[in-house]
Amino acid sequence: MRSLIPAVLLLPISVGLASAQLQFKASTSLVRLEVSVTDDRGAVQGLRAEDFVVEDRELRQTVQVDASVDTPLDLVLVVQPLNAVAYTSSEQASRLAPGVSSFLDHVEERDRLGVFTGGAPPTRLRAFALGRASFDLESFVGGQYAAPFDAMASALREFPPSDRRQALVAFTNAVDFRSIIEFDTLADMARRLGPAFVLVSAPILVKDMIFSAAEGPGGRSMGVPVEATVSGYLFPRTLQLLANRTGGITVNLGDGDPKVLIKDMFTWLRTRYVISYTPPPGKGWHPVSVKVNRRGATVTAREGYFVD
Amino acid sequence: MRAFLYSLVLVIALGVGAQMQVRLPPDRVAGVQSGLETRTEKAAEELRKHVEGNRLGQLSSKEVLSFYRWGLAVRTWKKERGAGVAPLMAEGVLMDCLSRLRGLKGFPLQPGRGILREIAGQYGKDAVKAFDAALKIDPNQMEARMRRARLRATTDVRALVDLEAVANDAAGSPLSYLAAISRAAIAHNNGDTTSAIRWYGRARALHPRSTAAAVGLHALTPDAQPFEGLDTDDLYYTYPCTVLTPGVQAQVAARVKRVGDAVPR
Repeated sequence: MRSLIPAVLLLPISVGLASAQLQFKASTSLVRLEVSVTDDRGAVQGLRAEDFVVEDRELRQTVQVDASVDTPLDLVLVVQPLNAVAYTSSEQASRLAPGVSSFLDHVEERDRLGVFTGGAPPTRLRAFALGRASFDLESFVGGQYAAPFDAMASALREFPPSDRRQALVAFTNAVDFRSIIEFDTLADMARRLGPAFVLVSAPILVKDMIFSAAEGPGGRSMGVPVEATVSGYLFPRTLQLLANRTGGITVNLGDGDPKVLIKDMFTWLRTRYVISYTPPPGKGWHPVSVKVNRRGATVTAREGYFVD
Repeated sequence: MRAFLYSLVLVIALGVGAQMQVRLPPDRVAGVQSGLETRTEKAAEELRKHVEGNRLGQLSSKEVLSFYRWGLAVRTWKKERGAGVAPLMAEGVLMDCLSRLRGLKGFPLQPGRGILREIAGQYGKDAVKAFDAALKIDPNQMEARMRRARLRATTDVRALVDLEAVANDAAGSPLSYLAAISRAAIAHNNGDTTSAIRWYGRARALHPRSTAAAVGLHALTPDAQPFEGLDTDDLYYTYPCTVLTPGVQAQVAARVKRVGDAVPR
């Protein structure tokens, strides 16, 4: 599954969120990182505490590690209206639609799920609750304008304290002309709050051309005109940034069968290591680094966390 | 994805139906051609970087046409004797609308706009100019005042003050609500939590079912705002591309239709 980037998650379970700015409190006694370790064959299992090297502010930490496979999930789904996606790319919309259907098929009765649409304005279709949800795609068609950043910001507040794996799963093309929450503000919120962002999107086709010609005296052309083309498929960079910041992943529905990609996404979500440690003192930004002693294994970690 | 972009960064097609029309020594011709190719390659690389960092999509040809017709209608309307403020409001709202389309490629309404720039960044200043012109004709034009203040408030303290004045207008019109929620958003996105909460509060006082205020407060305060009962047609989310001044939007629609009837599809 090439498009899925393994990640490390920092859950807010043991972290206070009392301030108005939603920053981690300095009194935090325990940091919990959710870690996925993968190699070419998929999830790497059987790792123990001594296999991990965890640094917080470049200081090696003594950690506890718990592994879990097939864990229940806390999910909040955000779907940008498909008409809004089609406003700028009908191809993206046609790829996102089956992805949303497949996502709903994979939610199980033991999972908890909340659902938002990222329309303008955003709406909550389902409050956070246990069990599967039955929505047809008509629920996500919506209008041509969207406010996915507002929907994601709202969705972040849906997660209750929990030791389950938590993820905000957004189907979006990151095009937002209406939100009150700008992208930078959302990105700032994302690194302060716990759930990983799983961003599901599709690439856009880019094809831009430049035409150059030289003119001599009297406007006469000189030389042979030159044409340059910049083209290719592009996945929204902002989504990758959010995923990296939160220890989440991006899923590129342009990479293959949506059913397979979403199934792999759920496998990734349900398999994890939880790393716990007492954080080093100090307010502000705590950059985090997680490595394992397995050749060829990839660990992707949340970039860090804030302490007020 | 990136590798793909890199690999296709430049396709130089030589000999595109051009002929030498100026007699120059062969060595100078070669120099001109070489310089042309170098400049084009640099421009393509600049474009690639820009696209990779910013591009999110492209307006459909249908949308481009509708904006184009709106622009044509405004141009004709402005030339009419005694047209007054209405065409300027139509022009300003069109530009305000376009200024929001960040990350989209489109076709510029006006000449002289470079390909390297997305459509959004080009039109904010044009919107301000149109609203300035409208306010010269009618200094009490509240929509022009609110929109101009919102557009300039991130960089101009006087505009921020003006936005607050509209928000505090005792009449409490929808424009006051939009000014209050816009003021809150500016504070919120600048990290000024205290001001943001205060202005979201003002917005909620003006529109108790405001979804935008609920979303903003939801993000800033630990006590979650209930999502039930919120306005599903909150004006904050729907106003950007619609002229709110009574009667003007209907005139825009009629004039755009006339342009559409005149311009072949």
